Amino acid sequence: HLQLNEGDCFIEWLPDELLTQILSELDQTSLGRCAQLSRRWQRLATQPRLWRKIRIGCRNPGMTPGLALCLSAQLAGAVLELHADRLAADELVHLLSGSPDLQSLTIDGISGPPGSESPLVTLSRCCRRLRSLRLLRCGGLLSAHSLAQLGAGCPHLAHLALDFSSCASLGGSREEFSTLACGLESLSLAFFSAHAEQTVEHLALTIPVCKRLSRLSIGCSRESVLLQLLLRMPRLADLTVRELRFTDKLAGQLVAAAERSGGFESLDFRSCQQLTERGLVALLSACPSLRRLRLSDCRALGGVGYRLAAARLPPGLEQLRLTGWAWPGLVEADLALPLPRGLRELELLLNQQGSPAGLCGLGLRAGLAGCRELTKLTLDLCHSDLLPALLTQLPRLRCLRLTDCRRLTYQAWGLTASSPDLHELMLLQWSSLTDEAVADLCASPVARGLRRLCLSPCLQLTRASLASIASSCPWLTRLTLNGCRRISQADLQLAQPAFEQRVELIIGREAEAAAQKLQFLSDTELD
Amino acid sequence: MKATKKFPCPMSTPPILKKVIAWCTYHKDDPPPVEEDEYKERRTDDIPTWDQEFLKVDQGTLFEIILAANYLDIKGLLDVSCKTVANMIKGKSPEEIRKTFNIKCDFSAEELERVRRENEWCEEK
Repeated sequence: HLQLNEGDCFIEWLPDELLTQILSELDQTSLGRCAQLSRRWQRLATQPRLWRKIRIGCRNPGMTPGLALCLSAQLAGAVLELHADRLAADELVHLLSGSPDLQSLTIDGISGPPGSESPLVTLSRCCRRLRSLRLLRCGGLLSAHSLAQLGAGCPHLAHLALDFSSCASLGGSREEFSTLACGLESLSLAFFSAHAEQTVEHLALTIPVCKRLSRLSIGCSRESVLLQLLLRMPRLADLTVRELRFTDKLAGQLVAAAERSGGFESLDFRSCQQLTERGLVALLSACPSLRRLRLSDCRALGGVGYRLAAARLPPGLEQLRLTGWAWPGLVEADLALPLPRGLRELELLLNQQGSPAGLCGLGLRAGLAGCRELTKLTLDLCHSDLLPALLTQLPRLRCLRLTDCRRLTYQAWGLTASSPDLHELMLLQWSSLTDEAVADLCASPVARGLRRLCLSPCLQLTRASLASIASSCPWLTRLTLNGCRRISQADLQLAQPAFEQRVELIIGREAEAAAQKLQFLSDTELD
Repeated sequence: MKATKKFPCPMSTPPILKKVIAWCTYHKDDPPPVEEDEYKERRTDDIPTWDQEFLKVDQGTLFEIILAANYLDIKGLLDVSCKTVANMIKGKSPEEIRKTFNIKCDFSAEELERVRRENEWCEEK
């Protein structure tokens, strides 16, 4: 925006309620900085209604003991959502005492000696409106007593998430946990050690029927545990299972559960090595209202599995993620089977073995022909004829990630006549990536709206590419170049002024690291 | 949105009204904005490119557009222009924000230091 003349201050024209609306779009860090601008800004930026959601803890500089005490006066009980990073126990207690309207609390670790009262007990005493509680790295915080208090004091508690260290202390609190669990709508548990397994097995057996529970996320490796839990959760609609091997037998049990509850809305299984077509088909047939489906590490499905699944995916499906190490027998014609029209997000990582005679994904031109609502697409298949087709067919596409661009040539960009308003583009394993290829990309309509761009491997790229990108992507805010040999950090610094926006310029490691990061991104996003 | 009546619009000049009408014309077939849950996750990084380019104007025009959108009750335009200003604030230090908007600092040196310390906890790394 143009440099202002001396004395021009247009932003002060705005009345308080409009300035407040702008402030309400800001994150915590920016709000804190706005409070330092002037008296008027301090008054407006510290309005309690802007501080409904806060994050405090040792990650923040300036977090001295005692500051939390000042804070609770400033925030005047307005906080609805609190994320506490390794606060001292007594500071947390003080904050909770001043937040009677608190609805959501995440405790990520507790530091310092335990105070006179456990934070969970304070919670039950002061925060009677609590709906959601997440405990991470809080081994020792849970006890039979604190769980009992929580159950009594927070009658609206509907969402509970415990990571493995917090779960470890559930052993001695089965009864109290069971009482709490029956009022929940959503539960997330993670058990990893063999000792913890026994705990969770006992829990699964003693927990009563949880009539309101509709969402369960569990990491455990015993099928018997999950089966016991399923019997006690008649309304389950959203299930995420890590660790446990998803077998046809388990699929059969889920079919039975689906018949009791009216079907699942969301299914997420991370270990599907033993799932075959039969199990998958039975499951899909029993879940006509499925909206999200994620199956990872499918090895036994293959082309037959894909065909059968594609034909049975419910029309209301919005999110589909299929990954696996290999899909034996999969051919282009399989990919041409039409996918559900309401699909918003699609991730297909089918070709991880990367065989040279492998698929290039051209079948997806037909497969995605009706998916005009698609906003996010991740594929490990790519071809110079596929890319332009996708860009023409998917008018709402905002995020495109292609993890294997070995078949992508510069011609793809020349063939791209139109593009949706793409905000994020990631092209990995693009072996023919040169300065000329970058120039072709920048000359195509795709570049215009890009906010985030990630390219790999950048072995042959020079500073010339930085210049092309800077001049063609006026809205870019993040540029990641993996595996650069000829571009250094210093080059990036020099290139900064050429970009219109403040850009985060990252030189990453090789393509493999980027692909791993993609997997990591996929894993964390869903949680 | 068809203009069938004449209406007074204080603080707006014909160029601003032209801009507002151009925005409304482009967006006339948009579905009505969903009533947002006040405490939902706020995002400012997903403004459509057409809107971003449309709002790439000098500050005087931008704030007049905000005032006009507010007066004429055009929620979509108001939201996207407020988000645009928010994006001009994000990532900047207080001094940089003041410089961007020519905001006059009326704190004394001691007050400034105190208000900085009071708000240091907000920084998230």
